[in-house]
Amino acid sequence: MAYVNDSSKKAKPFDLLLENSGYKDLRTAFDKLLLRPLWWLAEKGKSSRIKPFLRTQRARDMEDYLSLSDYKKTISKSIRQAERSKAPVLFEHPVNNTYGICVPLVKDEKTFGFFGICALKAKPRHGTIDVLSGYTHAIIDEISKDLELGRVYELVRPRAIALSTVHTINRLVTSILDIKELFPRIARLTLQILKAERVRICMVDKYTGALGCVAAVDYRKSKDLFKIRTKPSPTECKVVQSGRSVKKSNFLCVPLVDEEMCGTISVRDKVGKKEKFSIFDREILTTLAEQAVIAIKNAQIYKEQEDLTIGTIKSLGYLLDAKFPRAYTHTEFFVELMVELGKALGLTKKELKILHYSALLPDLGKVVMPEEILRKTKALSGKERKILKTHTVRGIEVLKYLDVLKPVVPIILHHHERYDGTGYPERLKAKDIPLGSRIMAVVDAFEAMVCHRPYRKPLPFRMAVSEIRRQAGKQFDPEVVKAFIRIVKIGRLEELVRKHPDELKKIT
Amino acid sequence: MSSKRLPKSGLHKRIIAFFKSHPESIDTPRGVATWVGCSREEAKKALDELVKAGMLNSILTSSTSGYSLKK
Ligand SMILES: [Fe+2]
Repeated sequence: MAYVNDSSKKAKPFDLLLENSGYKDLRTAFDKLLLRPLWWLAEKGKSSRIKPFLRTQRARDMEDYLSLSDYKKTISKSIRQAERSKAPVLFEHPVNNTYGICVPLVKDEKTFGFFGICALKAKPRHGTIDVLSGYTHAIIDEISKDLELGRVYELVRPRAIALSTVHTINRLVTSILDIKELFPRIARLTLQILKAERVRICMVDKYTGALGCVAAVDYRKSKDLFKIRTKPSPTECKVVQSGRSVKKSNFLCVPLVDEEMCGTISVRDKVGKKEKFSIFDREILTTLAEQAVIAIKNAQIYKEQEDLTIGTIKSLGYLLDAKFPRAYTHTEFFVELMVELGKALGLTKKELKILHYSALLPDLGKVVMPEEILRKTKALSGKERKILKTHTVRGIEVLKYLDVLKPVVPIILHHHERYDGTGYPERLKAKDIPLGSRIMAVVDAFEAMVCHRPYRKPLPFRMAVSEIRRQAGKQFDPEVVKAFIRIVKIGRLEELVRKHPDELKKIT
Repeated sequence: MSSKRLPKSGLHKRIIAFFKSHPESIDTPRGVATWVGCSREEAKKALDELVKAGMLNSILTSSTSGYSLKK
């Protein structure tokens, strides 16, 4: 039985009996034996509507031919009798002296219809009536089981759907590792399943212990408006202090608890003016809060690990800078421009992260270069230049010990390749050069042009941009240059330059 | 605004009927396939078409997608 359709009406035993294949088999088995009588059925309350049960192909030219409607009166009388006695009734049709049987269809001591035979030429034996009646009851038992299954299904289905929603939410929130993305998502999902107008997530600050709002959605104003209020309400503070949820008719607030109190999630105003939050809503929100806490903790751990990686690379850069400022590291401007250019080229979040890491220490290999080369302010000799060129290969020798930085190795190794194939270390050409390296080549050149160097003055911004444009297809990938020009046109590059004025001047 | 073409197949109607009778539900293509009685692939295709037509919301992640009724 298929119960997949929400609009399916409750099945009635009478209809199920009509569809039952066992019942049709009964007719087929006895039809010949009883010399092709007329088979009929009537639903309780509709006994005037006596229907043929599978129309019989009887010869119309039979001498004593009578149709089912000719027997109606007699059948109706037998139905009334059977209804009273709740037992099969044997009857005789006075017009042609034939016999008939009427079997009441009883389920849970309630009669729901009648089934029978008429136009029997010989009086049936009791054994025949017993077999027909017994078989009918066996089929009704089978139908009862089907109905019971259907009832269980109707009972289980909404719970299964709700469980499936909880499971989906769990997958949707635990798959997000970016904490900035996670909070709005939890907020929106909460609104969806609780059918509320407003939601707010507050978190306890790890260091200060203060409760602050991290995400809020208000559907009454705009579907996508995130309004972050700095101050949580007194109720939210109370929930954090007590660890107990608060339920009012138009407000629900539950704590976000892990091993310690993390924050609160609260909803306000049920969609549909008259609706109120119920205890079931509180249960749902509590379950959701439990899932949310796991996802938040995971995202926090992920962020901590990411911060640790970046912090470690930056510390290393700081140590190296102490000896030779900017010999190994680049400016914040350099890092930000790399990411900006990556975004303009449509890189994924994962690719942007790798690009970000690669921008932190692209010239790490210089650490093994002779100090006099690094200190030199005048032009390098051919031999010195040759040594300096090995910094890309030497750099990756250092990086290979850091598993998390493995994806940045190709970017750093090839950041001095040229689009026309005349660069180093492998003279790679065009798209054979990793995209990250092609991006870094543009940013590296631009930074070098606009920064102060001991041996030359910085180029004005516009000239540096036109130099980049001029080198499209030669030193640089034309597509990367196009993206770079786009950034210039929208004023983003100038914004970045203005954001780091000291940094750009500092490089001496 | 360009007029949105509303998908009208039996499956699309069944999916909308399911979400209307369970408006708080958020489900994956596999889940929806179970509730409306079709294959996961058929459900996914119809769900995406209903999102395009502006009738459903979708949340996409690297591991799964969640669909729900648009408010
Ligand atoms: Fe370099």
